[in-house]
Amino acid sequence: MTGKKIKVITGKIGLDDHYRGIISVTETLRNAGMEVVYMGAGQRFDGMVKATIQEDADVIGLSFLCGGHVEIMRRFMSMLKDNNLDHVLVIVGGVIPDQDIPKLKDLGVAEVFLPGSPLKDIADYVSSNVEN
Amino acid sequence: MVELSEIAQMYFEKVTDFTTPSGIGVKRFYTPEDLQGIDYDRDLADPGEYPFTRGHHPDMYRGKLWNIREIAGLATPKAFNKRLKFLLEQGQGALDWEMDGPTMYGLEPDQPMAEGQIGVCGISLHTLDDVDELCKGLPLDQISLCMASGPVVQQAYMLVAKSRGLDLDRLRVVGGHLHYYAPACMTSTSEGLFLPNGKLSQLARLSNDWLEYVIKNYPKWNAWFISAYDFREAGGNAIHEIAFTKACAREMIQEMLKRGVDINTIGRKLSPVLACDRDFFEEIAKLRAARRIWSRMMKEEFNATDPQAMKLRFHIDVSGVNYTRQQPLINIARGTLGALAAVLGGCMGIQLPSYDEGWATPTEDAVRLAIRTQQVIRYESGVARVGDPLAGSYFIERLTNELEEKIEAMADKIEQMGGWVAALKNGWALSELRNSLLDIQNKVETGERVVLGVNRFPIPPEEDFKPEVYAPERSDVESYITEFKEFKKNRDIDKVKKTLDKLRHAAEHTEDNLSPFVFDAIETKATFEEITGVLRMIDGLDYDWAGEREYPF
Repeated sequence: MTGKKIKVITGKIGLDDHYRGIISVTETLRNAGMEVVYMGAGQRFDGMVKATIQEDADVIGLSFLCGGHVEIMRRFMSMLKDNNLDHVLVIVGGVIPDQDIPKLKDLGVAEVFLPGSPLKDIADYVSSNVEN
Repeated sequence: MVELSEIAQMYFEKVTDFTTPSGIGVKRFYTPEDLQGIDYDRDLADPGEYPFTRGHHPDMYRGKLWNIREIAGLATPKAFNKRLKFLLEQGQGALDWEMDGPTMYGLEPDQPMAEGQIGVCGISLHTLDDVDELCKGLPLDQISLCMASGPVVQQAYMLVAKSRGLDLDRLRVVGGHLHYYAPACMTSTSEGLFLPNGKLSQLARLSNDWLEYVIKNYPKWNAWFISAYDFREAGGNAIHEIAFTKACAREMIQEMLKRGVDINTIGRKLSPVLACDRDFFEEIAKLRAARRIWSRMMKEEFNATDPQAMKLRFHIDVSGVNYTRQQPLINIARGTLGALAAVLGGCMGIQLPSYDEGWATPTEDAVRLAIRTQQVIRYESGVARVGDPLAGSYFIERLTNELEEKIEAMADKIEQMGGWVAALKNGWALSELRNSLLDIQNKVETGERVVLGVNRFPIPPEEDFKPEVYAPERSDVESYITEFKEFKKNRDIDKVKKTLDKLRHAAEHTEDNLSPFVFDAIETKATFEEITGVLRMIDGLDYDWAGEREYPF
């Protein structure tokens, strides 16, 4: 499958409209040659799962500012499992306290990017962790 | 970290960036020539005189200091009540309530989508009892309260005040109204604002109805109609901020004029939240330009005759987006400069983010430090003695003029597009913000825009200061949800149904102002979500945003 573009779904699940970070990440991944579908902020769980299936995505990138990330990711990761989507690389970014990072990783989140992370690092991480 | 071999280079380091963040080129220095064309009486005038470039009042801070109004909102009504009292005890004279996600989106606290999101980033308020609990022991008739909510929470507040026998005419409230600006920044309300057929929704109507009701009934109420700070957070620059504010105000004023409200009455009420971002002089000049632009609009375009109706009175949110998670104590210095710019720009209130902004909702210690920072400016620096102390500076006056010109040009462009709502619907406003954001991020990535702790002078994480992190107590949230369920059980369902039916009928079949119907529904203990849900259904939307609940009646 050489030459297949990495396909990414980005957005925010839950009741939090702070989208500054996820827009920057979306654009960075596009500039790195990936195909990115930005779903927007304020997404419902079902919408994100549906989009992942429809787009046959390799990666899901989610952003959080307000909190609730552990509870949301617990539910979302189990929905991915129920839909046989465990192979999708899930990355998370945003205002997340340090002590929550291991909790997110235990749930199956591949990596957590904190505020101030160089955008290039996120793009590099995705390209080197998706098997094409 | 600096390598020792680079010290000589550091010694000779010089300024290399000669452009403000909104793209205005800056000269080496300014001279009397830069003041050419300025007529003092016409363009500046004394503070308190039209066009109010120099401030809203002749006495400025000798008459009244700016409000210290830290943004606040956390946990449950009981816990937040304690925090509010703490803030008042620290010398904060004005309060602010921010809502959590479930409250903003209109979800009940016990539904699945709300899990983990109760009381984070705001307070959870869903019933009249919640608002009553939150107000316990607070001197409602002595404080100025700002509510960042839809009309229903604000109406519940008025009912609580009424039940305490307070004179509603004397309550100082700043209430958010129809967030016409919301689709640019807040996706939650965009669905509720426009319908697929392009018409404004019932929720939008309710907001307009409430604004009309407030303007006609509550003399001390200020209508906080826009948070222009949100435009900055979404990536916009100083020009976007004021141009969008003007365009949004035009739309709202026209709506109120259609409803027969007098222009002088409207003008005395509107009060936006503006931002202070990181470019010190540009932000000060922007605030001066904004006052001039506003007063000319009110006088020349809308024919206001009362000078009180021409003054732009604004609160400032110092930009939290410039705060870093890395080396978070630097944020105290950033905030000091932002708040100082706000004061030199003649603001009437300041929200200064706490240094732990990049970590979580502030702890008590962190927010106390933000209050103390404002108090250093108030009581120790001496800067509040003189109104508009920078007036007459060749640079400041020139920058004020240049910003005014660019802001007016952008506002005209929006007007030619068909106005603010048109600029939202066609995507122009959003794409402006997005492009500006990407430009900023790109400059951070390349190092052209210095962010200390991120792209200059970073330190290893293990050496960095780790703030204590606030989180709502889980047990508080659980008992709050239990109380909410009890509240729903212990009410007269028939009465609730009757008031909701009346609201629904008025919304569906009449042009009546919906505010009195909402008051009745709240009083009979309808939840806030039942009220907004009924209105959503009329528009053909799901009863609740998450699609998890059916209308119970």
